[in-house]
Amino acid sequence: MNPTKFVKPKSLKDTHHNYCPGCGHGIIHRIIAEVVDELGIREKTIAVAPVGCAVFAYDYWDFDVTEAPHGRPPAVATGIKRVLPDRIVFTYQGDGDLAAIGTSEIIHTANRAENITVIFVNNTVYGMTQGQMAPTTLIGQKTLTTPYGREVTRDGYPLKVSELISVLDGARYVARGTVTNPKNITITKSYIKTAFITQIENKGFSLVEILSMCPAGIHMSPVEALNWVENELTKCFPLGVIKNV
Amino acid sequence: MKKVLQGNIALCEGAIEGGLDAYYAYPITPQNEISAYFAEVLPKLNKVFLQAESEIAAINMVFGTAVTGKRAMTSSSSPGISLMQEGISYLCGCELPCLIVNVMRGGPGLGNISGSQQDYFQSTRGGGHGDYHTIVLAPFSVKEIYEFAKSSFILAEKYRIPVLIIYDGYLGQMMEIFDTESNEGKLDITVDQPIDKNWILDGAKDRHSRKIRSLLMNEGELEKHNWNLKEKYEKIKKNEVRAKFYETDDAEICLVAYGIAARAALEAIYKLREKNIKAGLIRPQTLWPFPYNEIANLAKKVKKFLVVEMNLGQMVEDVKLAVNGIADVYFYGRPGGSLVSSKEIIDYIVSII
Amino acid sequence: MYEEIFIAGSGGQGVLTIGRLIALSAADEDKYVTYYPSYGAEIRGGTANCMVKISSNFIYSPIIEIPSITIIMNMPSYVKFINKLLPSKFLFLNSSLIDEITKISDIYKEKSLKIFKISATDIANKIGSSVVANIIMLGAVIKATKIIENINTVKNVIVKNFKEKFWELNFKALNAGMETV
Repeated sequence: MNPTKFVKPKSLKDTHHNYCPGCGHGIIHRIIAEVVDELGIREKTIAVAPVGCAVFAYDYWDFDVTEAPHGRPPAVATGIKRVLPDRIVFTYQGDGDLAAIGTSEIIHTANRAENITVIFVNNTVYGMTQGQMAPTTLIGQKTLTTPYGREVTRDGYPLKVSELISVLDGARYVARGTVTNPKNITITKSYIKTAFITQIENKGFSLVEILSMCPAGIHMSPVEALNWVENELTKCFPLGVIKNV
Repeated sequence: MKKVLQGNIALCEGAIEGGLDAYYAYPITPQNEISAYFAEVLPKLNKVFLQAESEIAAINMVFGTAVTGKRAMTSSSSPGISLMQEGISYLCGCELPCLIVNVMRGGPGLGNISGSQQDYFQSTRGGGHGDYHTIVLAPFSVKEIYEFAKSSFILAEKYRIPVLIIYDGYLGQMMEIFDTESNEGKLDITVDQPIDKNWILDGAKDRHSRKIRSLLMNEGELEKHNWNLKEKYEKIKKNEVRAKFYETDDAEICLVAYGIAARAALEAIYKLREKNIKAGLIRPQTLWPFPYNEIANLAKKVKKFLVVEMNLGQMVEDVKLAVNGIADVYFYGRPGGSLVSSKEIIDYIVSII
Repeated sequence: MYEEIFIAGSGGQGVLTIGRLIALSAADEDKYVTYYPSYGAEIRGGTANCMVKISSNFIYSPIIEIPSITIIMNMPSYVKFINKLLPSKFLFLNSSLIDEITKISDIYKEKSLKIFKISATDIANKIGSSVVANIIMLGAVIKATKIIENINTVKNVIVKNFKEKFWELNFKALNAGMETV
């Protein structure tokens, strides 16, 4: 048996990441790059980076990437895809970007069956601004702005974006994965691949939510964060394909 | 070809002539004719028309299309343009060309739906966050609306900057006869070298991957970017100032007005000349860059200036800067979507002369 | 030539259509024209008015201060505008819908103002539909004022701008209007 050689995907730049130890973004960037390579679409991919920790995504991926104002990547992606319908356009958004300030854009873009792909990274906190409560923060979870834990009476409930989007007729493929272990990474990568294929086949809007680790934001060690995502977060946000039509 | 068109429709025809690829907008009065026209016409031309869910989405769709190097446009009226300011700041930070049209109505707040010139400050001072400018064109006739729209994309691409066309709801709603072939109102934009498109995102085929961003976190990087923008703005100030002069050679009093107010002012100066009052008019066609030098030169011989606006006095500040204390600057204006009439201007001039 | 025409009525009465037809026809006769509409937030039933200027030379402002011709199609507009925008030359009233409270002829008898009371809505109903009351009025205005030199210019504009099934009714209305003067 030949040993498997570790190779960097072509769609990933040969540079080091600025992400914190134990952060999930590096893994997610890589599996997206692998999918883009495997589908042979690097030369026609245009990505839209969010405002948040992944704002520097254009320094890591080796395909065309633009920034977008906070929450607006789906509108920016719409403006790209409408004039270049044969390119592969995806947005990469966090829970603050997509599920708080950008709720209007994500819902209407999905509802228009816009033929783009959305990678939604849910790590339950605003990482870049030091760990405030996000729409997806769990009940009771302590953050910078919920020092006594998220209270339903004051802060409402964790927002289940994938379930919300899946009821829209324009959403064709919606799945939720995580990147806590090799098995989950492999499954999530297959979701991302299906989402891109949905777009390649001109079927319409696809979204993959990825439960991810922000050890610095949730004040845990990388290993504790992995376990917390796997054991606690998945209870509120169950994994699997939610819609595939 | 002679045409009788509403200002808002002339805008659409001009933009299409200018090579418009995609239009995105959200409904708001008094400019709904624009989206109705494009909804009907653009699909037949294989161009993009999309009604956005908000002005915020519309300006970001414009951003997306601009990123690809295609020609994108949005239009709105004052409250909607306020909502777009964040996007306009990003467009300027990322140096993306596009066309934004503000058919101004009365304010503040919801205000009313009749024409106004209340957004002069917002338009000429950037409007959103940051040290930036957009080119601001102010047509005063249906023909100029047509011509300015037609030239706006070349102008925007020449400098990689958003171009704003602003006019009051009166000009947008009025219909007027004009000749598409005549030179009147044409903006001659000189382009010395082929416009650089080596920044667009259309897929990294046979080239390195590209990024478009305004986030510059490394030490000194953002300052350098701002100095580069400044250099560009200076170039625009040098090359693109446009103003029209009427009867200024022997004028004792020089009016300064743009848009529909300039038409009332024009009527006023000719009526005043019938009464042997030597009045003239300078009409800025570009509000940014502003014709400071042209007005400063006039101030060497004209001792009185009267700025006429449909607001409480905004452009008057630029005129005062230009005149720099060497002549008297008066102001006559009406806010809140009220039109200035030539009779009011004449009465006011008679009272100060 | 220089005419300033003010037209008022209620939304849905075709007030703006009168203005547009005059403007388009004058343009076809090689005149400078401006047309400025004004209406409330309602689509129908609110007030609507428009201002048309026709001139041999470039027109500065599209806004009218003293009209040479005023056309009023209903009572609320009559009450609202009769004192503000009284014309210098011609006044046309849709007498089917306007009860004259003020005896205009008494007030303006010293002026050279010509007043035409046209029962536009009644005539329109007789020839088939109240919606063409505006075109009846247009026929009367053109015959009396000669702001459009050739009535065929107006007919051509109708052909260019209206659906074919409406041509005949509008021609009939135009002729009926001309006969009232």
